[in-house]
Amino acid sequence: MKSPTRSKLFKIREDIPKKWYWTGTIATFVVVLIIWELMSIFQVVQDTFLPSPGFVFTTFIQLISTGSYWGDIGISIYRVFMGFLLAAIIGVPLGILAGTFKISDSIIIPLSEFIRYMPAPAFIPLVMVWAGIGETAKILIIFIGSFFQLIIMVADDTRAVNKDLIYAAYTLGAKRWNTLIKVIVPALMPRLFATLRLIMGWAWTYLVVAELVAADSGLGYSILKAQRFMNTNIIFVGILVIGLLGLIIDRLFVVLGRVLFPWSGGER
Amino acid sequence: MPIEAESRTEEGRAIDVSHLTKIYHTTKKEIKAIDDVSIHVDPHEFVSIVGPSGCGKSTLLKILAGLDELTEGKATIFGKVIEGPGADRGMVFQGYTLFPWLTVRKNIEFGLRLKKMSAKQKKETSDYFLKMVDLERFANAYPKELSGGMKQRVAIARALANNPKVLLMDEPFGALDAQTRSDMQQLLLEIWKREKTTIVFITHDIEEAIFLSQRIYVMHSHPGRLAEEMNADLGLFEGSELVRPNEFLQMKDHIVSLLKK
Ligand SMILES: Nc1ncnc2c1ncn2[C@@H]1O[C@H](COP(=O)(O)OP(=O)(O)O)[C@@H](O)[C@H]1O
Ligand SMILES: [Mg+2]
Repeated sequence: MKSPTRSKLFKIREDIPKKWYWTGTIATFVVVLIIWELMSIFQVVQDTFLPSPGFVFTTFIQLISTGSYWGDIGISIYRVFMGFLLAAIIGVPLGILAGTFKISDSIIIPLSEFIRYMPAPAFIPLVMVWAGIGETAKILIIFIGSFFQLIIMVADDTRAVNKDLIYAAYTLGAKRWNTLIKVIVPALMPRLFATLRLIMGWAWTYLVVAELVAADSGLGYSILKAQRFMNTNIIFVGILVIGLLGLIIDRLFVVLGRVLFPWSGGER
Repeated sequence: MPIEAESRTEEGRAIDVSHLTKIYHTTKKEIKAIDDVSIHVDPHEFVSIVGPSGCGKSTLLKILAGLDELTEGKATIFGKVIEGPGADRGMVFQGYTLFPWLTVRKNIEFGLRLKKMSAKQKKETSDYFLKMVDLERFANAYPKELSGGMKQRVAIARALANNPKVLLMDEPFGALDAQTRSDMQQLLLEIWKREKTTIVFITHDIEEAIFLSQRIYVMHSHPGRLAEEMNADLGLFEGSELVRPNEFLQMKDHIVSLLKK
């Protein structure tokens, strides 16, 4: 293939060869790493504040060869999934109802809109009063952070289902219940999946918030503990591991979406 | 032009609409989409409604399908007042309304599944209609793999598989290119002749209406009113061949002049 000229690379919203896309992505990562390395070589920032990439990497290897770090990872993943699942199991049906029936909308949406503007971290002290600092507290914070947002987004997804599909179902003899179960729900699935993927991202954020404030285990707590002894290398590893886990889960969502909805076109 | 079926009673008619008026209430104003329209369709008849965009064609069809309510007047299907949607009135829409998560075969079987038809009967029925629209090879394809013409063929098959008393079609070929469109018109005529379906067909394409239908209603816009009813079953075509071009052009010019008024 001829190497694309500049005019080809900068066509508005047109595709470029995959090779070029990956080149761009990898180059960015490499450049960030190089700048970071240079900064520590020339001592632009003190080692205690900015450990070198190499040091962070060896810390990473050391940490993941200890069982206790895997314990932190495990408990964090457990909390995220519990909070996320709880929000999804209750929130998805409510969102679908709100997006389908105007009367459910009137009951569910205004309240959710109101609560969603209350920042989840502000609930932490209250949650600690209610539930102490046990697992329930952390799961509850993740739940509060994602639940109301989820309802609103799922309701939007449901409303976005093409009305002509509903009309078509009616003219084929479907009554309301069948139309909801056999048309609205399947039609909604790809969008719902994309929403769940986004909410999962937020669940991670609230996890760390919860663990920074009210925990004695988990990745967030490991970061907090490292701060006490100025172990910035461990803080870096903590942040990177949380990011990596988030990325892996996000990719799993994408792959799973492709497997589950081969019929769906358009969305990535 | 007077029509011989004038003497039929309401019960004998597939569709009877009398003095139908439809007003939409929006927050700002009232829109009179249809004003005092009366039409009728006899069993096995192919009737077209022609009119400019915005004259209330889709509104009228939606009311017949039971998807919308009329404001004044009366609409019946085989003598029964239309009170909501039902499997007795199949519909084909202008946009693509196949269920994207179902294969072509499953789309065609959608209505049959609701009727809890046995697996064997379902298969036989979908086989028959897949063959009718010449899509046997695509039975297991998803809608996204089909061209526009193929999608509309599935939509027609899906509606007919349900064995409706009346087939309502709202500009079903409006989004297709000229060649596909004329192929589809011929296919539809063949199907109509074979299945003896009652068809109400909406279009803004005058030639399409003359080619397909036995009778044509011409509508005006703002507000949507009936301009004229005419017989189009004059043997202008033999197969797809236009054999009486003069009459054809005369009729076309007449409709064009009606629409200009
Ligand atoms: N749901 C609606 N609410 C308000 N006005 C509508 C609605 N549906 C159609 N109309 C109006 O009614 C008129 C007829 O529309 P329509 O039946 O779609 O016309 P056509 O199918 O002949 O193009 C138009 O002026 C349109 O704006
Ligand atoms: Mg229309």
